[in-house]
Amino acid sequence: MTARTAVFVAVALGIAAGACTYLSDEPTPFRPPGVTSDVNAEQRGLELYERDCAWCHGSAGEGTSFGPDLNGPLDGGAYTHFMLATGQMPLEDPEKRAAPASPRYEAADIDAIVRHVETFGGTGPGVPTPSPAAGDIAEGAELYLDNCAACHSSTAVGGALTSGEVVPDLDGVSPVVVAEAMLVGPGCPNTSRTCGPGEGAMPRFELDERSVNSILRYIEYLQRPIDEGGAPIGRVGPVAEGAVALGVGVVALLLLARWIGTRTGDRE
Amino acid sequence: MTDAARGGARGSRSERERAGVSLPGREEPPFQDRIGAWLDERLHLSRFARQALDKVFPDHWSFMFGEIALYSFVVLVLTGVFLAFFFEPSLTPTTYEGPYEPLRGLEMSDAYASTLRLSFEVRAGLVMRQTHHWAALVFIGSIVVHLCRVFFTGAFRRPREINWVIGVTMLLLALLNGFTGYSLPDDLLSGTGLRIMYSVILSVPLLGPWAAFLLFGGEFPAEQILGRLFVLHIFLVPVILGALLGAHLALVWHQKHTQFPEPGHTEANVVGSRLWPTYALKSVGLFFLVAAVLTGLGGLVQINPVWLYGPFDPSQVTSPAQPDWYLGWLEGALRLFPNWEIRAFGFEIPEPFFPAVLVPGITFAVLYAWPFLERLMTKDQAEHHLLDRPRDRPVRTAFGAGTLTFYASLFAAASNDLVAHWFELDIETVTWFFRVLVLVLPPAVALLTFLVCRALRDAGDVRLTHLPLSSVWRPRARSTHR
Repeated sequence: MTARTAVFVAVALGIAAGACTYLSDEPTPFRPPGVTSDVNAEQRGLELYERDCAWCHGSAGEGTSFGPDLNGPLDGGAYTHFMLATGQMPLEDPEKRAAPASPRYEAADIDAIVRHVETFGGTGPGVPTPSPAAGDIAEGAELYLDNCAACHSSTAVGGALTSGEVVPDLDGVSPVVVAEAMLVGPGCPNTSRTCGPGEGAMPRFELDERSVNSILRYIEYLQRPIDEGGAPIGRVGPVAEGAVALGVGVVALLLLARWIGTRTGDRE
Repeated sequence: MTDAARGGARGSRSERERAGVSLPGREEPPFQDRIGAWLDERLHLSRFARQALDKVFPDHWSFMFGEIALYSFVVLVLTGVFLAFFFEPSLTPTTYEGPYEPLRGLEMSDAYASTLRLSFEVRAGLVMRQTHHWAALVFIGSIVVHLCRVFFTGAFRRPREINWVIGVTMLLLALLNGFTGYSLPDDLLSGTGLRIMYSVILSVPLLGPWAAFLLFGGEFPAEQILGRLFVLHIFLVPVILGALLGAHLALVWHQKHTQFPEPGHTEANVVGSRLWPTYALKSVGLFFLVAAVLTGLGGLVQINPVWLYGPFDPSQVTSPAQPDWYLGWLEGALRLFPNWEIRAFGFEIPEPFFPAVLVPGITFAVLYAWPFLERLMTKDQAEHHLLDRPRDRPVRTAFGAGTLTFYASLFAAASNDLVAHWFELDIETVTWFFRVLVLVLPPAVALLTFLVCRALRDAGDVRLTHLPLSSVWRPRARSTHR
């Protein structure tokens, strides 16, 4: 066997392994079937809660061995809406770690479930109604850099924390959801039974309305910032820049040097 | 009046020509020739120029890597001069009133405000700033590629050790200038980098606090530091770099360039193209290509959008925070080194000392000493003008490959948080993965390189892809037809 055959076999094995990973069974996401009955929102909320949530949280939000109770001091509209709107709930498997994903319900259904959960004993804040347009963008920039940039990044791309916590990217996140996160302090691993709202990776921020609106306005700006200077290459800073400088700049120049440095006829 | 006089002169000359009258010696040579003659009588330049234009340089495309660095440096100087017209190296607080709305009314340093002005108000300011930054990244990248070419082909051997030492010094200065430049805009990201550098200097046993205070002029963030970085960045280091560059090229000129062993190439001759016209035109062409790639990047790809990072404030921090690529290996070493409390002679040696002072210290000590270390090992005292093929020097090539792997692994480890984020892994797992990788991969790569090189060397003129695998593991007698 020559080295060339060995390289060929290695590449072929790699492609085969990659193909297997790609073709292996992806778990199909949970999609509740559409309901055609003309139930009102109250019944709809109850129906969806009983069908998708009560398994783990109990039919009155009292909690079971699979999921925490929903009657704590910070539980309520804001936290419920946050978990549903960020797609972290419902879970297919209570042992699985919840992660931000596209929401499993339409907005009206989320509102219906939220209203149902609000009839439980949680005393936490309700769904906020922020108005980013009322905020001051420069004030928001300062508050954002003070309080949010350390984890979510000054460019809002998110990042990693210790012990596997993921700080979400804020791109595409609605102002309501961000306001809820500031009110409740989410980020508990759902696999932990000892951690509740307000004790998660994200601190709870008790800010006045104007500050909240200003931060939201700055985050809205960061979602579509002034993009002078060309392609933003991910907005992660020097890592992407280094990749472009070496992978594009230096490589291009080496190829160009080879082009002009080789006489016609010298090339094999 | 003058017109008439000139007309008259022309008239008389054409009259002489028509009449076939020609007085040899009386015809005045053209103006530029007279200037040339005047200069030559005084400076005797023509002999030198004749020799210089005819000087032969060996042709190989890999000999142009250093030129890429040279021309990146030229672009750096040109764009840097432009930037220096508008940049204010001062930490004096000011209230921003410029056109960038999200920061209007915030307090920031003059340095940051003038960087915003350069980016949004000065005509062509942003493309100059971005080209300057891209040029810095490519400059150091091409130096490293050039260094690898010189290393793996043994071009540093006697009599070229001095040029090796000059080259390594230029790499060191380029790193220093890269870092000082990265720190100048006083944005949140670079301020974090400067904070790390301050801590690294503090960590040097005994000398650290003195050195840090001397350099920064006080406790971080000291007022004076930016002005000092500026002088280092635009004056001191570039001037030394320029002088060393001159010496580097003069030595190449004087000692002549090395060439690859080929039929007709000997230790005593130089086979290639004359400086004029072939080599000069090729080199000028390369300059335009380098300038095109760098300004192309500067115009098309965003780099260091400081307006998004915000002004530096010691109470704030942003993440992910990495240095520019050329300091990634140091950042990676800092991230991987365990937080051991190491005590010696009753003092605690702060932990950053080992990854951020000792690692680069050893790196550059070995780099500087390599030609001399290699001579100690090979006992080879002879002059060499013919290059080695990397396969013919398995030990050197293996050492180089292993070392490169070590620094590449450290470099990758500097992005452990991004790796964790992108691959949805635990950051500690990623860190441990890189700790193992940094220790295991380099020896493995070195061993494999050694075996492959030895097999290639012993197999004679065989391409890597046609090498029988069995010969890699079993050494056999060197073939005689090498």
